[in-house]
Amino acid sequence: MIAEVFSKVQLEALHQRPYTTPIVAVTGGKGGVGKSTVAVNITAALTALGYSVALVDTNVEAPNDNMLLSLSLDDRVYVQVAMPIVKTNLCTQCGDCIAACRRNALFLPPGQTPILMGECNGCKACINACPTGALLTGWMPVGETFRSESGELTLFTGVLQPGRAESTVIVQALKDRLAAEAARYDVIIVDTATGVHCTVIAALAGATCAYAVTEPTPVGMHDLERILELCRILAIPTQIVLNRSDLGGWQGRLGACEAGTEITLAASIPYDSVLLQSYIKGMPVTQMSPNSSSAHIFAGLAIRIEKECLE
Amino acid sequence: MIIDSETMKYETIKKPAMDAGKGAGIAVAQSVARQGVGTLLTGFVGPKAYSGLQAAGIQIFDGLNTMDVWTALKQHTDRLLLQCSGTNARKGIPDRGHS
Repeated sequence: MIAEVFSKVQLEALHQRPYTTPIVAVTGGKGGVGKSTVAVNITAALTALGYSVALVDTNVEAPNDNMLLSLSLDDRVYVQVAMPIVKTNLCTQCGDCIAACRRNALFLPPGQTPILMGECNGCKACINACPTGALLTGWMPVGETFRSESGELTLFTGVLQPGRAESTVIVQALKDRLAAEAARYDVIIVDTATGVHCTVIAALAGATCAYAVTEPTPVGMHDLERILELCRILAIPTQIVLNRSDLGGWQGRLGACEAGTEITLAASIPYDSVLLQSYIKGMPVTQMSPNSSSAHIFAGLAIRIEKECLE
Repeated sequence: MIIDSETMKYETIKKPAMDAGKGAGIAVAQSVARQGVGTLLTGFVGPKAYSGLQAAGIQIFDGLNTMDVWTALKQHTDRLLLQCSGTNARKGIPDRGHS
């Protein structure tokens, strides 16, 4: 077991949020294991139980929850970060802005004024460093957030502009947008991106509990161990959802993940062509085929969430 | 290495931003431009260093990675070198970056 990474105070700061609505994170490490499928289906199963649910698609580089729900992306809000704009008549070419930029994004050609050339991340250090006020704050769009409604379900989607690096900024903007109305929902489901990086951490921040979706393949089990370790570092109670549980052949590895921890297997979803059809159709299996075995598993998960988080 | 082509006197400067996570090419171009360099003889320039050097009006002759400095200088003086068109410089892998 690895050493503690964050102090109690740091963890409290990370998980701090201005509302008390429970947040259930659906994550999992490996890509393509069914995180979005699980997120969409437990969301649908919870709305079927009569709850008002906000589903947050933080997979900002390739969001697809709206497709799985056949929802359009509505109510666009642009996400922008600051950038310097050079007022050439005020610039003395002193070079203070160049020295201030940790990302070397500004270039000062001899005898001219600075040019923004590299990857600006909007930190404003150059603007603060400029002694003559020659740098003004401009705004560049890095992505968008959307809000779509369908009955008791509200979908929040973040989209990063292709080629930009600010995926975490989009996730934060998405969560800020949600925070303004979070109190009106019974539960919030956060669908995270693949991996254990900053964007996933930003999505997991504030989570009441998490479900780590994986599949019984070598990579699936390897990445499960990594996401379980991250959730442990972030002190988020986590359970496992094993998708395509009858394929892959690495089911035996699960015991090693669970051993000596409080992590349990919440659900096993055997391969089911009905689930695949619902994915293709863009309709949760709990709506399309409520009597299918997959629909029963998701309904069971919804009841589990109801018991553990909503009572 | 900076050479005065009139007097053949030279000095060496340290490559800046060796450990920079971002914008190392721009930082190098900035350092070269600050030295008042007019011509750069080099092995390879990345896309961002190229943009910076272009903006500073510095002539670039590249592809010299297997040549020693004095041979390269001699060939440049004899006008045997080809100026960098930027085509190679732009071949760099697009930087997706991390946040």
